[in-house]
Amino acid sequence: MATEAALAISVAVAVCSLLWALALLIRLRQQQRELRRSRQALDLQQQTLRRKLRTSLTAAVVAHEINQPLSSLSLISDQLIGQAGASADLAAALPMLQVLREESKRVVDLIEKMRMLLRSVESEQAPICLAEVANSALAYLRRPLAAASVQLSCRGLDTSRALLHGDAAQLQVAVTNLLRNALAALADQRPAERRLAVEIRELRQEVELKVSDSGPGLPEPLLPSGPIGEQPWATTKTTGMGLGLYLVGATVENHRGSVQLGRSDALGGAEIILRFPLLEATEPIAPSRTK
Amino acid sequence: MDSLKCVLVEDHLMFQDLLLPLLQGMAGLQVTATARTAAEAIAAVKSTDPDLLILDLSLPDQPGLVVAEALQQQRPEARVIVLSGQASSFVCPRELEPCLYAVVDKTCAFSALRQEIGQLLTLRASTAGADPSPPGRRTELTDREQQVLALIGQGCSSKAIAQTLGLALGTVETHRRNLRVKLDASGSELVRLAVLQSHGH
Repeated sequence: MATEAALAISVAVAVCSLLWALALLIRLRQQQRELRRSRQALDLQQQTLRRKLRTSLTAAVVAHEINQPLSSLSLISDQLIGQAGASADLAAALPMLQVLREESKRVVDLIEKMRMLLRSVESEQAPICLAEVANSALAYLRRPLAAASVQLSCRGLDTSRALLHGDAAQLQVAVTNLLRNALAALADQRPAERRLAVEIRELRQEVELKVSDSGPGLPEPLLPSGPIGEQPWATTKTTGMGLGLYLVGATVENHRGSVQLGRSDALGGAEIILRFPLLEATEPIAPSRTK
Repeated sequence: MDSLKCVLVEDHLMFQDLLLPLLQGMAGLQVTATARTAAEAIAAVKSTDPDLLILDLSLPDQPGLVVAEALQQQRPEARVIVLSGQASSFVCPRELEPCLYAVVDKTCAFSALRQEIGQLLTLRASTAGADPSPPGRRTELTDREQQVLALIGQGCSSKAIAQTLGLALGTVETHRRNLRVKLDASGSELVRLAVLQSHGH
């Protein structure tokens, strides 16, 4: 009797173990299937990303290649327009030459916007001096700034050596757009009142770029500051001020930085502050170069 | 005064051919050499010792900036105009900033180059060829000027500023005068700016 009971218990235990093993096996299979599905989803995501990156890089190369013949077209039309005064044939063709020049300019603007948008996606990270970026943006905009008689005051740009880990060209495009927006904001002021200030400050763990102007200031809905994703101006609008702000927002996000919008106490107009994490002293430092 | 000697570095032959007559037509400018690669350009810099380099950044053998470095070493007072299809994203290294005169988009080369070179020629004539810096109303205050400005903003007199910073009264007056020039402000405007700035920080 005792033997039968013991046998029954053993069988029960064996059956239970078998069932448990079976359940475990089923669970394992399920997990394997889930893992396979996740892997497939991940592969698919990687393929999509690779495809997008390929498309983006191809577009960037195409944009670069288009620029060369476009530059030649613009130069030829400019030269012919310049010579129209000395030639009756060219004078007769002047309206058409002007259309050619204007249409070339439209394509140039479109390509520039396309390149700026592509630039905000692709990234070549290296140690970058933010002051070099700001100085280069100011050098690039020197003609329009001088033409508008803007009085520019700078602080920290000649002395700051603060580095951040980032994409120089992407940062440059963002800073150029910030300055362009400031320049546009000064257009309605009398030339003697057009003031622009650019400042770089090194904080404990961040480097800060402040751009302020004497224009009318940012519209009220743009003023609350916070993480970039919550900014009401984080728009994808691709014209006018919208594109510039979108590029600034995307660049700040890509560099784990922050934006603060406000009114400048000193100049009375808009004040935009970008902050980026400082490059840690232990990271290797290479000289910055952009082609 | 001698002509401004210029080397044109551009790898696209057609664009170079288009630019050349434009540059040759400018009075006071002499194109001493053209180059399509960095190696050719460095050789041209060595042999013709130019005052101005018009430089494309994308060259087939090396980045265009190596040519600017070579020119700066040979002739620190010479100037560089960067002419690039990617001008808006060009970041100039700090060490080359002193020789950078302008950054020009290739797509508006005609008007921009004429304007920049015209300005450079005028500036060279007025400074008798010595270190022409690009015109513009940019100012950068020194640390001492910042301190003086901050104290003016707090309502301090020149005498009080001199005592606080341990300076002679005349030195403080010099700083005030430089601040007025740099900020293009009259005496009262300087005080107003200083007060506003002290509240802004």
